[in-house]
Amino acid sequence: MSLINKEIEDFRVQAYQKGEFLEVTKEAVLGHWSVFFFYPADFTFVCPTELGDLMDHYEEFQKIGCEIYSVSEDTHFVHKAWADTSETIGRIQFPMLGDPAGVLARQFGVLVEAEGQALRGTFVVNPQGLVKVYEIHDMGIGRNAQELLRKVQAAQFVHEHGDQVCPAKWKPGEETLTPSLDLVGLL
Amino acid sequence: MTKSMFGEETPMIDLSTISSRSDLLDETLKGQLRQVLARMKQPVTLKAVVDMENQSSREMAAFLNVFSSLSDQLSLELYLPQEAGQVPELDVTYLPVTGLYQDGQYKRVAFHGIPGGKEINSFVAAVGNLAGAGKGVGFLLKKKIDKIRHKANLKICVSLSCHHCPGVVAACQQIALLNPNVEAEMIDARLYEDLVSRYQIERVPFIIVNDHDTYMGNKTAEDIADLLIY
Repeated sequence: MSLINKEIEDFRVQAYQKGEFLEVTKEAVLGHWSVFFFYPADFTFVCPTELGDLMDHYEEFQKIGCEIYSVSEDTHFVHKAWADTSETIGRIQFPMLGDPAGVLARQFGVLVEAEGQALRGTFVVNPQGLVKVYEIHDMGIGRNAQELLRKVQAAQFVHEHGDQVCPAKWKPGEETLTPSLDLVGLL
Repeated sequence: MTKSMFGEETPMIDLSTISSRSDLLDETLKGQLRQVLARMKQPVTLKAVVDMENQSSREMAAFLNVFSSLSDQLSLELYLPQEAGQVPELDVTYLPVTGLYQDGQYKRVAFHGIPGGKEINSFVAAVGNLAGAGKGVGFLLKKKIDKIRHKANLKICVSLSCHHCPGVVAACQQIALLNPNVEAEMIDARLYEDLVSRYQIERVPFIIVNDHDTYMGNKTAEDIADLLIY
C-alpha cells in the first residue's frame, strides 16, 4: 500500500551529530521539511558514497528549510565509531539516527527482517508529518542527492502553490493562440 | 485630440482604418459569440490603447473591431499611445491594453495583450458579467467581496494555453466588478519579457497584488477575496 500522505508514527531514537549524541522524536521533526534517508548498515562501501553525496548538497537542503536524517539499524555509538574512522562520514553534519530496534525502518516499510538491515529508502516528509515523496531501492542501488533536492523543491512548490498551475514556456514572437470558447462556469 | 460637436473628446483612431477581419475570429466562432452576446442587457464600451507600430496591437485592434461588431450593445474606442491621456485610468505600461467601461465609467477590468486561446473565455465572461448577462455571485461570496476595504490592483499573468488561467482571471474580474476597491488586469505574459523576468514568472496563473505580493496557481473567487481582506 502506498505511503503517500501517511502521517509518520510516534518514535523516539538516539542519534549522532557532529560528535554529540542526541534524541530525535516525531515532535522534533515536525514544523520543517525532513528527509529520512535509510541505508543498510554503517561500514559498507556504497553507503559512505551516498551519504557523502548528500553531505555535498546539505547546505542546499538547509537553505530550503529541509533537514536530513540518515537512518540505519546500527546504534548511535556505531555511527560515532564510523564517523571517527571514515573521512567521508567524519564530515557529515546532519543527524545520523540509530534504529537498532527497527522502529523507524518498520514504520516506513524498509526493514529486511532476516538481515536486520534497511533497504535504501528515501522519504520526504512535510512539516505536518505527512510522507510526500518516497523511493525504495534494493540493496546496492545508489541514490542521487541532486535529484532528491529537486524532488523536495517540487514537493515544497506544490505544498505552497497547489498543483493547479501550468508551466509557462513563452517563446518570443510566438503567434497568438486561436480562441477556444468554453464558458462553462464562467458566465 | 479632436472634439465632437458636443465638445467631448473623441478617439483619434478612425475605426474605418482598422481591419474588419481578425484571424482569431472565424465565422463559426463569431456565430457562437453572437449568441452569447445576445444575452447582454446593458451596453459595454471597450476602450483600448494600441500602438499601431506593433504587431500585437494591430492584431488586438482588429480583434476588438470584429468583436465589438457582434452586438449592438458593444462599442469601441481606440487610442494611440500619444492619446492615452484621454483614458488615464488605463495602465499603458503593457500595450495593447483594453479596459471595460459602462456609462462612461471605467469598471476596473482590463486586458493587456490579446485574449486569444483559452483567455477568450475570461474576456467574454467579463463583458457578459458587466452587461448583466452573467449568473452573478452567491450571497456569501458577495458578502465576502464587500469586506475588501483596501485598494487592490490585481495583475493576473497568464499564458493563452493555460486551462487554469481563465477561471482565475474571471474570478478576479468578478470581484473587481463588484467592489470599487479592486482592479483586475489580465496580462498575457508572453508579450512582456521584462515583467516575466522581474517577477521570475515560470508558472501561471500568477497573481501580482499591488505590484508586490505574488500568488501562484488556481484559486477560487473566495480564495482571492480572502487574500484581499485584512
